[in-house]
This record gives sequence, C-alpha cells and structure tokens, in this order.
Amino acid sequence: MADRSLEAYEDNWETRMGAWFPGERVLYRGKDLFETFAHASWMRLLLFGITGRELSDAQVKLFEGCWNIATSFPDPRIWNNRVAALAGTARSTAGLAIAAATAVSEASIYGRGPDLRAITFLIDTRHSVSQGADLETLVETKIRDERGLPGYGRPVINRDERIPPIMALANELDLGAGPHVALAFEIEELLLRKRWRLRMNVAALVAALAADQGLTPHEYYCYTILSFSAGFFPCYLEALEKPPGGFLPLRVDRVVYQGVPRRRW
Amino acid sequence: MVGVVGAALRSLGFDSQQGELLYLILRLPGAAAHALEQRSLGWRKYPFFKDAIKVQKEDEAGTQHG
Repeated sequence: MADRSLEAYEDNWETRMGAWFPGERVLYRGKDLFETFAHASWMRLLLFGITGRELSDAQVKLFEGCWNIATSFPDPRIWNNRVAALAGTARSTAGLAIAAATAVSEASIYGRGPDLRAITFLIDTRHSVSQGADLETLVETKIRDERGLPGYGRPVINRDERIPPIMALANELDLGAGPHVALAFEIEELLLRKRWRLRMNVAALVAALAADQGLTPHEYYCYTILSFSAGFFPCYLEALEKPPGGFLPLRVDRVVYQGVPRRRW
Repeated sequence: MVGVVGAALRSLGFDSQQGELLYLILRLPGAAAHALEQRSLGWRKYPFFKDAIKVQKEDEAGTQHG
C-alpha cells in the first residue's frame, strides 16, 4: 500500500468495516447488521468482525466452547481474575475491573503471550516439516533457544484438565482431526518419549484448532483478547459483596521490608 | 490516606477531576516499583494463596451457606 501523508487522512477515513447510519441501519463489513446478525450468536459476529469471513456453525461453536472450557474460571487466585477481584475490593467500576484484568492477560508465561507464540510455532513448524525438516531437531532447537516450548508445560500442574473436554467438543463437531492438532499431539508424544517431560497445555491445543480453521496468528490473538471475561465478572462481583479491602488482605507485619533505611530529613 | 490526599489537593485548588488525574499519576512510581521488583522475583514467587479458597455451597434458592 502506498504511503500517504497524514494530510490525505484529514477528515477522510475510508472504511471497509462499516458505519452507523443514524436512525436507519448499521453496515458491518458489508452486511446489514440488523438483518444478518440479529439472531446470530455474539461469537459469530465477533469472528466475522475479526476475520471478515463467515465461519460455519460448527466452527463458531468450537471457538465459543474453547472460551467456555479453557478460559472462564471464576477463581480469583488466577493472576488476571485477581486483578478483577482487587478492583472489586477497591470499589472500582466493573468497566475498569474488566479492562484492567484484560490488560494483564497479556502476560508472558500465561495468557496472550503463550497463545500467540503457540500458534506461530505450530504453523511455522508444520510448514518446516512439510519442507523436509526433522521435527525432533526443530523441537530441540526451540527448547534450547527459548528454554521452553510454547503451548507445552504448565507452572502449577503438568497435566491440563481442559484438553479432554475440548477434544471431545472438537471431535463431536468433526473439527478435531486437522493437521495442526495432529502435529500438536505428535510433539507431545515426542516430548514425553525424550527427556523433556513436558505435556501439552491448552494453549497449544486451542492454537492448533484455530490454525486448522484457517485463522492467522494475529486473527487468533484478536479472538483470544476477551476470552477470560466470563471468569472476571464473578470474581469482581463477589469482591463487591464482601467488605472493602476484604480480598486477601495482608497485615502490615507480613511485609518484610529489606530496602534502604528510612530517610532522615 | 486517599481521603487525606483528596482533601490536600482540594486545599491546593484542584477540582475533583484534576485531583483524580493527578492522584493516579502520582501513584504510578510506587506501582511501577512493585511491578519491577515482582518481575525480578520470577513467577515462582507469585503468591498464589493456594489454600485460601473455600468453596461454599448454594442451596436451591440461591442463597449461600457454609
């Protein structure tokens, strides 16, 4: 795309995404929003908004089911849910609670970081293997260079209880037998056979499923952004029900300060 | 403490919106220091509060009891 000066954009925003025609209708990526999506699931609309492609009913159910199973835990011990609960205990608003919790979901060892690295790794690896590269060498190199493998291993417990229900859903929808899913399990088998002892976590599986449905890494990343939302709200709301500051407070003498001494003015 | 700061900012002539924005900015260095320190401790030092959760049951009417 030719580089245009900012002057060309002054009072001029050309869009393929659509617009609101006040009092009349809304155009959403070329479709009439009211006519086309009034009875559609919100996930269908979201995925259409992100990809510009209309996915099948089975695909939409798969993507929604992945959110339900993998990322909707109402447990405030989990780092991003913790932020939602803290916002509630501080009597912040629901909007700020969910925004803050969503923001910290871009973590490096959980959440969006591993999600994006997992889908990129699987797509790149599948391509390399199809060009004749050796899978074991690719995996070994990745682990050596990055001290881990995106989508494999889990800090709290190695086994991931989300994988069986997601695979059951995928198979029920006839979407569980794609090449990236097969590769993900082949890598796990390789890891367990060799010295690494890393099991697949849900990040690899959902990334593989998404890749098999044709999502690019950036489309997949966009799809994941709101995925924790259903777990945030319960954590926030319960903190509102309890006294202000009542979410896992720490008494002052549990903080062991070891920094510079107090300044004497 | 928040109330004290609010009163002080009011005395200094800030209106409520100005005071709120300034308060948010002034809290950032302390928050940043905690974030940087926690990052250097690594993920294993994240306080998970593993045993702090106690799941209660809800009866069919939707009220909670222990």
